[in-house]
Amino acid sequence: MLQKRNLIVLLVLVVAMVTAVACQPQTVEVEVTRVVTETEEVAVEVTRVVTETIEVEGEMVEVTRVVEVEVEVPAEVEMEPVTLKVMNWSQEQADFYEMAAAEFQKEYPHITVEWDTLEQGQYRETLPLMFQSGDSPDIFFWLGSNRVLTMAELLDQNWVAPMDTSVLPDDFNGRWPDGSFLEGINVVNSLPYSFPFNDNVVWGPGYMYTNKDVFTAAGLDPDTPPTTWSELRAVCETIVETTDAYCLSVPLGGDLLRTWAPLAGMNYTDTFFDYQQGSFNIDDERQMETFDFLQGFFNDDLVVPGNNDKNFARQAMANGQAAIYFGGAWMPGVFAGYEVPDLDLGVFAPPVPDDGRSGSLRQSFSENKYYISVQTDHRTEATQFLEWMTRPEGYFATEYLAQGFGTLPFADMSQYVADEGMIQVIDVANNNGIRVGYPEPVVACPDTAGSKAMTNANNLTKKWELISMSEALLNGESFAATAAEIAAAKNAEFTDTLAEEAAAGLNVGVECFAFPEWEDITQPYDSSLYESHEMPAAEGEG
Amino acid sequence: MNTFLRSRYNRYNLIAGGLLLIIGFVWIYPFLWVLFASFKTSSEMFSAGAKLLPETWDFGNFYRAWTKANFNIYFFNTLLYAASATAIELVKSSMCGYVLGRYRFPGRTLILGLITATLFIPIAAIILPQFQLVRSLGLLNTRPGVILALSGGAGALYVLLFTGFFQPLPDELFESARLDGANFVQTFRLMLPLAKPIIATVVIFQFMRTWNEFNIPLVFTLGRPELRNMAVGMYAFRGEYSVDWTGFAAGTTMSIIPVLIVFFIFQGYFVRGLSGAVKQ
Amino acid sequence: MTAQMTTPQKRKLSRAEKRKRKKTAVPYSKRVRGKDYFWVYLFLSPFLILYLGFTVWPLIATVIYSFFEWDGIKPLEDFIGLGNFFTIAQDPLFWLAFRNTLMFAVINTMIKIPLSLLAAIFLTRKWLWGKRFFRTIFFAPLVLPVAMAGLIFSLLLHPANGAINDILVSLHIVSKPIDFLGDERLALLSLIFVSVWQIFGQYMIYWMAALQNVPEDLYEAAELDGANEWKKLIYVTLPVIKPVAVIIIFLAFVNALRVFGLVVTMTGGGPGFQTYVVPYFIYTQALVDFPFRYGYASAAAVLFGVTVLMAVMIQGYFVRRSDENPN
Repeated sequence: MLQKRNLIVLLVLVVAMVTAVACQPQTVEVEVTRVVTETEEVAVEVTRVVTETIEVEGEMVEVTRVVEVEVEVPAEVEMEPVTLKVMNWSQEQADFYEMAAAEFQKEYPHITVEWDTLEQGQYRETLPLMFQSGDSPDIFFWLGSNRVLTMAELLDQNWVAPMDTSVLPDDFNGRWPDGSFLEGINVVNSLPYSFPFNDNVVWGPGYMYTNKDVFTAAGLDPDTPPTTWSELRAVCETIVETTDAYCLSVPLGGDLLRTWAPLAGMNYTDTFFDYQQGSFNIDDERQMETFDFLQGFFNDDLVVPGNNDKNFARQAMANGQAAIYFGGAWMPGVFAGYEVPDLDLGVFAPPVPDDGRSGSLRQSFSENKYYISVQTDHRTEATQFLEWMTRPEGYFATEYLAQGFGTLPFADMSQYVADEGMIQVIDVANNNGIRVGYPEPVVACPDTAGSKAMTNANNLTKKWELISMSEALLNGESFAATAAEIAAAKNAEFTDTLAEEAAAGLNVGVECFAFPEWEDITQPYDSSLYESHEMPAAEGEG
Repeated sequence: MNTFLRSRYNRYNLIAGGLLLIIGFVWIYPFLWVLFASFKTSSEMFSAGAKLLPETWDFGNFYRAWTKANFNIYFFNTLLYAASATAIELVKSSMCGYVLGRYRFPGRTLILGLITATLFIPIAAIILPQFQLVRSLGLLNTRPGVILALSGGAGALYVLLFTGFFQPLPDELFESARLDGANFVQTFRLMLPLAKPIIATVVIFQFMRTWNEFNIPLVFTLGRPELRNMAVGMYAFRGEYSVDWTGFAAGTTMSIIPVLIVFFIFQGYFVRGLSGAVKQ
Repeated sequence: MTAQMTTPQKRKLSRAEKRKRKKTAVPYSKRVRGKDYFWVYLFLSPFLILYLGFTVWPLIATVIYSFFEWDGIKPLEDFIGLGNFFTIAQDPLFWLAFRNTLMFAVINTMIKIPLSLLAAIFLTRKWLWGKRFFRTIFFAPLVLPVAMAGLIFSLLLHPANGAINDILVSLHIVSKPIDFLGDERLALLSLIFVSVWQIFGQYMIYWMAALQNVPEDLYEAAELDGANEWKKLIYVTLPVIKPVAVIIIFLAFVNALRVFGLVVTMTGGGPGFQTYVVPYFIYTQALVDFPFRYGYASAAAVLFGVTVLMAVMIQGYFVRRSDENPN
């Protein structure tokens, strides 16, 4: 009996395998040879002799037939069909990409675009493998560790090819605001390699999202948000006293940045490095002030309890368990996907300290994201696609904006953005100027491109500040001692590495990272100040 | 007392069955929770608490799972990969485990030591070297490449299980086979059916592992997405900014059914069967 | 190591006897003769070839990478010798993860092994009704993707509206909801329990397979001697399954050292770094946080593996010695 069962099971496996092999999706190899009789006239009938070799049940059958086709414009030489592979990690937008590809093909019938998306972690792991095996997509999406150095890294890895300028219109660069194309950032030897995809004024963290229904339930005016820290605190107390909901929904661990950035940025800075003094700053009294302010909400049970990640935290706010969530410019689209149809979303600028805004959020230096692979055989077609994609009034830009996926620097956002939440996000960004350009060490000291000082310091423990703060917040512990420890360790590693590198001949020093001439952190660093920036004294064998 | 309760085992069953039902319900509860979550909207899922049944039954998640995760295309691949990798795994680990358990020969201790030692070291970058290997064999972007990688990685513990099974088998068994004139291969074929419980274990776990594996089927088919399996397809629910948990739950519900069927069939092997074979 | 562990006959031999025994230890039927050598190595080859290619080679590669400063993308050029190992030896996070991993593995094994053995014994009783049904119930959590299992328990354990806290509070067992995953003393423990829940079925099946080794007539003989169920377990079942049991416990421990998916989905290593485990440490170093540090992660893997392996070997040595010299 058991013997028999054993046999049966093995049989099932074998049958499964055999069926599997037998019904492999038809490996019909179709070789189509096209002989096109060209004629001088326009719109004629063209005869094609089509020979197809088709595998039918194991036998090769050759089918030759003459086909008459109406061709509208036969004057040009027939275009070779080309398939372009594009990849990124935005799975939410997969449907849109498919439509965009179809739209593109209407204009370029010979180019088929296959736009594939992978989950971000998978993508980052597998893209290098694709390059290794020569299988890389023709156009790929990439964000480097340091936005300024991404171009250099990509060239170094031999991943990128420049765009084919012969198919770019003369006013191509004019689609972007002035200063969008910079040598070394997205242009090398005057050849364009990439372009800013998202803008850097709106895009980024720092918005206060509110569930208006919770505000109303608490007897508060949902359209009058708290604008100062004291007001935020008062609003939170009211909400918790009068409703079942909590006030803030704060994601923890590395995700804490979402709440931290707008609070710390309005008080001082959202970076953990002080670019005025050139040192790590988590122990700065302004950071401590922000931390204490935030911890007050935790200690007084104004925050949704639990060690929540961003998914939980957002969901809690959308479901009315909390009134306020701080998040990035992309949140309206995320909330829309949560199937809470009656969510009445408010978008506001983050509250500022009671004596006014005294800090800023760092503006991303570059939003270059799409590149052409050096391995592509279709550089021209890839460029044509990128050109089509970035047309200010084209299908891609208008639909991308209309669907609220994000912001684009090469299209008129005020005209095409339809999503109510996204419109508010853009308003908030434009009216508040919370993001400013910080000084860039590599511009001041080109040698810092080769320096590992910043990297080594951050590598001591990745996301150290955020994770340690989370622990202190959850367990109601003091953070000052840990903050001092973190800052001391990072600064020591930072200066040690710089000293070693300087001794080894690199022209770097703490001076490259300190910009005392940048007096007001709420205002952008004036790039004319680079000239007067103090350089490290030449040292060592240099 | 009636006749039913007079039987000792019937009484046992009433007590044990009742107890098991309670424990079993608590145990299975989170599992059921996932099954029912596939019918909920995402906000209901997050706010449902202990409640199992959805307020309104929403089948949209299944539709989304089927189309967005490409289950219709990937089901076949998944079945092929899981069935063939399981068959290969079974053959190679039973052969190896049989020899290691039954015989003493030069190199045996070394092999056993190596297998044991490698179990300890977490491999930080396993996919990279495997990728290089499969590429150098020219099997990238092919089904055989995926199957090879799937059946290559995990056999060590199955070998140990087979070794542990065959080793204490009484010598008399082999002696009688030898006296019957069975040669090496014939003896193996006589002995293998005794290891039914181990076979069942290997089939259940290897099938389950390969059914749910996503790294290998993804990385080795980068150039040909149509060769991916369902577990890779499920990654479509992890977006750039959010995760579609209810779609994921629906996908999970659909994809675990075959695994449960395999389990249900093979668990029949866990019936004490050795006693008849061993005549002490 | 396993060779000794699985040797069924041994114990209480003097040194001399042992030495003598070593020469004649291989029973006649276990010796390989003549052309059987060909078959033995032929039988080994399919496994060994794949094993060398897909396990040993990646392992060697990991060791090689550990000597480089490397991001996994650029060519492997920046040889730094033992540099990664020096850095990692001074990385407090690594050692914290190390400690957490060991704690996780030991407690996890201590809970799941006896429980699953009990379940397996119970669910192989001839008289029990509905065996298949109950086995399937205990097995079911295993088929859930880990991400899904992590999510359910994040929801069920949640302090705001999680089912478990709801029950605890409404039964007045606790007055205030417990933050199972946020409290630094409870987070690791909570992970351990969820992990036991999920993996339980696997060990139940291992035990069920092992129990098949016990010949029925031994039980019958014990029953004739008037042994009760407990005595049958102690004097019949356990001694017979001991060789396989050692393997199962060993696997349980090694597999628990690989805890990863639940950490990612349930705590992300938090609160703070309280649930950082080595595989998670390796993962974040190599693939999550820019800049990637493949070389460093590889060094962590090697250091962790070698240390644990050595600890287990030393322990195994002492266990064997005390086994052999009971005084």
